[in-house]
This record gives sequence, C-alpha cells and structure tokens, in this order.
Amino acid sequence: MTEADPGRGLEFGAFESLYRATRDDIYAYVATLVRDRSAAEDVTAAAFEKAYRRRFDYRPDRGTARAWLFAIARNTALDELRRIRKSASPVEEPAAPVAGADATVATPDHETRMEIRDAVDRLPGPDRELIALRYFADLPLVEIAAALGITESNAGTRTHRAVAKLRRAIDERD
Amino acid sequence: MNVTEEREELPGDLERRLRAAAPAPEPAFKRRLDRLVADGFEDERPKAAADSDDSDRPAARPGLGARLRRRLGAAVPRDWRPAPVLSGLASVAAIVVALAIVVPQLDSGEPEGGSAVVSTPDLDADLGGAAADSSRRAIPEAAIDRADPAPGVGGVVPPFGGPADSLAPGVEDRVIERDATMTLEAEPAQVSEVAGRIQQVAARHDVIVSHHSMSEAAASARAEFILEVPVAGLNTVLAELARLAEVRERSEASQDITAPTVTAADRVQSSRTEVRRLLDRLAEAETDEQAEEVRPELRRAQRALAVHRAELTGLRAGAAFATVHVSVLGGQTASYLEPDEDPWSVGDAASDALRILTVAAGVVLIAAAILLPLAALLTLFALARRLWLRRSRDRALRED
Repeated sequence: MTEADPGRGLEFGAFESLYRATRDDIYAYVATLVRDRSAAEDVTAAAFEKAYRRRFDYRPDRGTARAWLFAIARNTALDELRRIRKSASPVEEPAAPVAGADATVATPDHETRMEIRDAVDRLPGPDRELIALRYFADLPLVEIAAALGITESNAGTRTHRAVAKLRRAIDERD
Repeated sequence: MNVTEEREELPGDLERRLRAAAPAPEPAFKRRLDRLVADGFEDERPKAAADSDDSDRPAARPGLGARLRRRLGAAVPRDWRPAPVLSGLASVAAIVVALAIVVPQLDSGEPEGGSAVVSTPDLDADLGGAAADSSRRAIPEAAIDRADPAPGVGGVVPPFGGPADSLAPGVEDRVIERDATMTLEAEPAQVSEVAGRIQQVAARHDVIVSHHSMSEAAASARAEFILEVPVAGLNTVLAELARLAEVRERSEASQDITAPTVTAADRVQSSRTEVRRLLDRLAEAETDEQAEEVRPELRRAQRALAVHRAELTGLRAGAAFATVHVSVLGGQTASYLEPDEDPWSVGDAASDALRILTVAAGVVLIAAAILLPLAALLTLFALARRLWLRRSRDRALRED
C-alpha cells in the first residue's frame, strides 16, 4: 500500500505506485456502480485523472490515500450515473483466463460468477456499493467510512445489512 | 458488532466466490490507462477502447493547466495549477481598485513647497467705479457665503474713493483685504538691477514702497520690498513683477472685512447724528448756562466721531491697497534660507512615512472590504453547491 509523503500531497512517483496498487480495485468498484463496461472504463480513467490533478490537495491527516482515491472514484461514478440511462448494458464478463489448472472448474465457476454478479447487480445502489468496496476492492471499514464520509460504526452496520440482503438474494436463486 | 463478526456472517465459500466475481478490466483498457498515467494525462481526451461501441459519449474537457501546456509546451510547469494564480490575480485586482479609490484623495493635502496658494478673484475692477456688478463677480463664492452684514444697515460700504463716511443704500458689496508674497531668484550680480526694476513697476502703477532693503556679499545678494498696491491693479503688478526674474515662490491671501467695515460705518453714522443733535441744542440755547451744559457733550461726541472715522478710514485703506512682500534672492539657495525653512527634515520624513503608512492601511482596508464580502458569497455558494451535489449523487445511487 502506498502512502503519501508525511507532508501534503502526492509526488508523481507515489501517485504512480498508488495507481498500480488500486487500478483493478477501482475498476471493479466503479463497474459495480455503473453496471456498464464502457462507462466503467471512462469513469475509471476520469477518476484517476482527477486524482492526478488533485494529488497536491491530498492530506494524510484526513485518511489514507486509498480512501481518498475511492472517494474521488465514487463521486465520478455517481456523476456518471446522473447522466446515463438506467437501461445501460450490464458489464460483460471478460474472456475466461486461459490455462487454468483445473479445467473442470472453469464452466461452473463461470456460471457461479455470473449468478453472483447478477445478484449483486440487483441490489439497491447503496448496498451494491458497500459490497463492491468490501469484497471487490477489499477496503477495511475505516477506509470505507472515509470514502463515503460516514462513521466507521455506520459503515459496519450498512455493510452488515448489505451482506444479509446479498445472501438472501443468492439463497432465493438457489 | 465488530469487523470479525461481520465477515464471519459470510460463509468462506461464498466470500471466495464473491471476490472471484469482481469485474476485471480489459487488457486493452489497462494498457491505455497505464500509458495515460505514465504520460501524466497529457493527452487529456480519454480515448475510447478499441472495441467500444459507445462512440457518442462526449470526451472529457481537459483542465485549464492541460490546455495551456498544450499551447505553451514546456513553458507551463507540469504541476502548475491555475487556482492559486487566479486567486492572486483577484487579489491584485482588488488592490488596484483600492488604489484607484485612495490615491485621488491624496491631492487634498498641502500643495508642494508648502506655499498656500489661494485662488483669489480678479480684483482689477475698480472698487470705486461703477463696480457693484464687477466686484460682485470678482468675489469668491466662499467669501459671499461667509458674509454676514451688520444688521440694520440699509446699504453697505461704498467703494474706496467716495466720502469716507457716506453710505450707499441699496448696493451690496464686499470689502476684501488682500496680501501677497513673491520670491524671485536671480544671479547675485543682477539682484540690484532687479530691485531697480521693481521700483520702476511701483512708479508706473502708483504703488507705495513702504519698505526697501538691500544686502550684498561676495557671492550672494538679497533685496526686500514691502509694497502697498492698489487692489485695482494688483494682478497687473504681480504679473509684471513675475516677469522680472525666476519666481521661486508665490502666494496670495485674502480676508473679508466687510462686517467690521460695516460696523465701523454704523458707528460713524451714529456719531455724526449725535454731533448734529448737540449742535442743534447749542444753537437753541438761550443762555450761556444752557450752552455750557451742551459744549462738553458736544466735544465728547466730536472726539468719538473722529475716532470712528479713523477706524473706518483704516479699514477702507486696507481694502483699497494690497500688501505685497517681494524678496529677490541671488546666490546659493541654501544660504538664503531662514533657519526654520529647511526643505526637508527628520520631521518631514516622519510625516511622509506616516502618510505612506496611512495610505497603505487605507488600501488594505478597501481591498479587504472588496474581497471579504466576495469571499463570503463565494464560500456560501460553494457550500450550497457542495450540499446539493452530495444529495444529488446519493439520490442517483438510491434510484439506480
């Protein structure tokens, strides 16, 4: 995990390290919010560009660099949501990785991933967001709270509810 | 409920499958994004993916810094941000506006050189002439506004040249006492010549030279005059004196003495009336005893009349002639300065410094008066926009 300089702002090297560490996580989070692959790519690029241009505004005393970056990505994605229509195409599953060691797992796992993805996409927006932050981006509760601008206790409560809804949704499909 | 308990609610197998279901970026997109980051987002328009079918999505507008770097190249630093520069420009603009307001007020101070040059009216018009209209034109409005003729006076003092104790009813006029100072500078060898020319000017214009002095030394000379100049020709005389040598200093002053003059005229009139009454009583006296009773009173009244006439004559003379002090200096300027006429002293420096600080404080106050309300309004606007934006985003997520 890349942290900022003790002072204020991120030098280019620190920003690049942060980017390398969070690129896929940011994409996963944004894609879960907007549920459109093309929009997810644009929003991800826009979020990193905004973070790059504001890197000198980052203040370590207000939270980690990851939380700061996810807050920017959140705002960018929600701004996009305000513009795109609800009938946006769902995020397509990328091509399955080649040469998996267990070939017999590829197809059932693929179907399972699609089912879980579908269950996540059907959650209400706030719950979907928390699932993405907790399990796709693997953020701890303290960083989730900083990214959403809420208390850690509130973040824990909301995450618990979102997980419960997801389990119910998956159980109902099963 | 702590974090550990929350995570345990999700079975391990489900959690593994959930994490595996996370959306992953396309390789082409990852390469493109890597390149953008490495280049510092110099190419501001995010390129659509090669196989993207969303060609109608509008490209993001590049920031101000990026647009400037595109045009100016390396002249604009990579990390340059416009916000601090724009804030600085706004502050400079506010200070310029403040200076534009404060600087014109500075001209209300003393004129340069310390001389109080009073703009006096043209008094070439003869006060003794038909001059009620012309003298009224010649008098400054400020002097007219200050006028307060003695109550009960049917008319005002007649122009000089008429009977000393006559009154001209129905004609309003002002009585102004004037004086002037002029310092001329010439070569030491020419001071005496200039002094001679001053005498010639005086003779041509019926000017009374009430005082004249001359001093000469090896490398310097000085001449002093006190002239009594008829006010009708004052400006002409001053103009001729100014042509005799270089004028280093010139000042004029005036004082309205209408009120004391009217009062003195009233006293003369009252005294004259009293003398006439006593003369009539004396003529009517039938015995020596009656006459002896009147004579002391008559003498006292006649003495009073003489005193009041002299007072009135003096006032009118003061108005009829302007006192002009003329100095002719030759040689080093410093050697002719009076001890209390040092051009620049520590006190002057302190005064100038205080004035500069006062002006600077005024500029800061005015700039603050301009910037603070603007900043407050901008802050309120920013807070309101931020609140609206937050709520709008949350609503978009809830309704999605």
